[in-house]
Amino acid sequence: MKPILQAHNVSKIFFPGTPAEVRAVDSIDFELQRGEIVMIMGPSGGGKTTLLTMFGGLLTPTHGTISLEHKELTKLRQSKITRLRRERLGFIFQSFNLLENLTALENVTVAGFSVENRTERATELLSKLGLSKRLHAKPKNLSGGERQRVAIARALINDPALILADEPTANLDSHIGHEVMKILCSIGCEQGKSIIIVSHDERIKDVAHRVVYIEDGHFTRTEKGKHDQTCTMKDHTFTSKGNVQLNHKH
Amino acid sequence: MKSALVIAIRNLFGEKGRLLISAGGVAFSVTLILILLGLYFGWQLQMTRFLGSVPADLWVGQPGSGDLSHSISILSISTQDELEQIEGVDRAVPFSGRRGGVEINGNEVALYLIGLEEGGLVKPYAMEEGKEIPSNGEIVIDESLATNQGLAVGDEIEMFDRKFEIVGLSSGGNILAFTYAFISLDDLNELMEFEQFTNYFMIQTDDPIGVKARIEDQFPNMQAFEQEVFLDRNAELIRETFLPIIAVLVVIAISVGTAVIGLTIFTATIEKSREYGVLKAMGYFNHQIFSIAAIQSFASGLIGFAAGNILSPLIAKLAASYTGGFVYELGVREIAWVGSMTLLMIILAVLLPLRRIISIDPAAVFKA
Repeated sequence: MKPILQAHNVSKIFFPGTPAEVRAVDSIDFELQRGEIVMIMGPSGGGKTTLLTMFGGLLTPTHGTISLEHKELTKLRQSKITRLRRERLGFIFQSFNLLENLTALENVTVAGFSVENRTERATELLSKLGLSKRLHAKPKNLSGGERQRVAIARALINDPALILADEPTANLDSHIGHEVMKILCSIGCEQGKSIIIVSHDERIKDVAHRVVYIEDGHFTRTEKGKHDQTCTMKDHTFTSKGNVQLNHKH
Repeated sequence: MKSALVIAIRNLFGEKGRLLISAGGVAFSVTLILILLGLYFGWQLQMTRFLGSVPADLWVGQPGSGDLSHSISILSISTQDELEQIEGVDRAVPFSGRRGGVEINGNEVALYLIGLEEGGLVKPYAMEEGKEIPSNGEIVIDESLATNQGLAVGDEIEMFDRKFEIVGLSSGGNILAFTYAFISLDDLNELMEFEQFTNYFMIQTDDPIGVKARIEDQFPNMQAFEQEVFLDRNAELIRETFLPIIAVLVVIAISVGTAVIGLTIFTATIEKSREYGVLKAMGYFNHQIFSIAAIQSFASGLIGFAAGNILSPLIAKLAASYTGGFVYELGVREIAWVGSMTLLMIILAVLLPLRRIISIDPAAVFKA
């Protein structure tokens, strides 16, 4: 089975050829299987977010190739990448990034591009995330945990193949952060989503199948996560390499 | 498009202060343009209102004349009989008037005195109070002059060393440079020593074109003007004097409106850069983000335009109650023109944040 995301020899160099040159990501190879949850951990400035933005097609690598569902991002036109993002990717940000003048329901609805009955779908997702009574609340009236759950619903509305989460617990206290991550991973498991979480929060690494450490733009080591103990994975088994293998047809 | 509309409307009404500033800017601009145009068309209409009410088909004067403001036409009164002999002429009636300065209550006032007689073609445009045709020693003045100078029917004014009793107040005779005032033809002739002369002959005919040709053929020292041409030449004073000023003020008003709406939309775009970056990251195209700014700009402009249309007649009415010279007239065509100027403001304003929107980097939203 082919991985959903493949990165081969990917590097990102900022200000190349100048005294300010920074090699943020350096010759990285990475594969993500369908339904797999991977956490990328490392210190600030290690290259986590740069790698994530490249996986999301928001940043072009200086070298190497990235393929999402067998489409090589580096060869696609910008409009195709944008279309791919709206249809196949979901984003969760560190500071939630909800639109402040919109209600929770509207925040999710406006992200629904290719969904029929998007209001119903958004209501269903928010209800599933325990926000059925907060549909019409604006972000400023929501707690941090509630806001991040709205952001999760927003990331899920287009039924994406891959969810990219950047420091999703950074603005939450540890208990809420852990809860939110459990919710994200449960839904991920249930719906067979692949998830990449970038974080330096050691407390949440048990939600992942695999934890990859990055430092100075290089992967330094990989650990098997404790996902099996925290999330129900009825339809998934792992390969010997730690990659998740899908048993059901999604 | 529906999502863009939701975001735009929520942003617009979510920040009422900003909406007030941008819509207020457009309202100010629209009000200013409407009032300027209203005054321009009002004055132009006022300029010809009195002359337009005179039932003349042709005005005959000296060559090179043709309006009451720029040039003086002097014709011999004896020509009247000869004119009436011309084929097609039903009636030829003299029109005598003279512009002059008069001191009233210590103020220098410009009047255009017109001599009237019973059964003549000329009378005031409309009467507000009193007698329409004055007898000797009487005068009918415009109500705007009466308001400005605190005069009323029964008062006396002194001019050219003679006293005249105000017997009537007319309207439609204030044309800024002067106001029309009416005295008897005898008094006018006496004051101006004008017994043997007149300024114009007003001709009534069913064949103005033919009669014009015959008059000019028979009297090389005379020129005949059709009524529309005569009115147009009289209105030219307003066009020559005020149109360039009004054009400059309208350009300033459009610039102010554009700048206010443009800057508020631009600052809103800068403030919303992060949200727009999030939308881009989620898969919104530039044109969709641009449509959010465009809808906001359009809605602000529309609200401002509506407010301007409500405010301008109210302000004009208020101003008119303080000054008689404030004549405000607007038609649907002028309002539609201002509507198109508002649209121009909106389009120019929405172009301002375009570059900013294109340059928003969606990757930047990953920075905390």
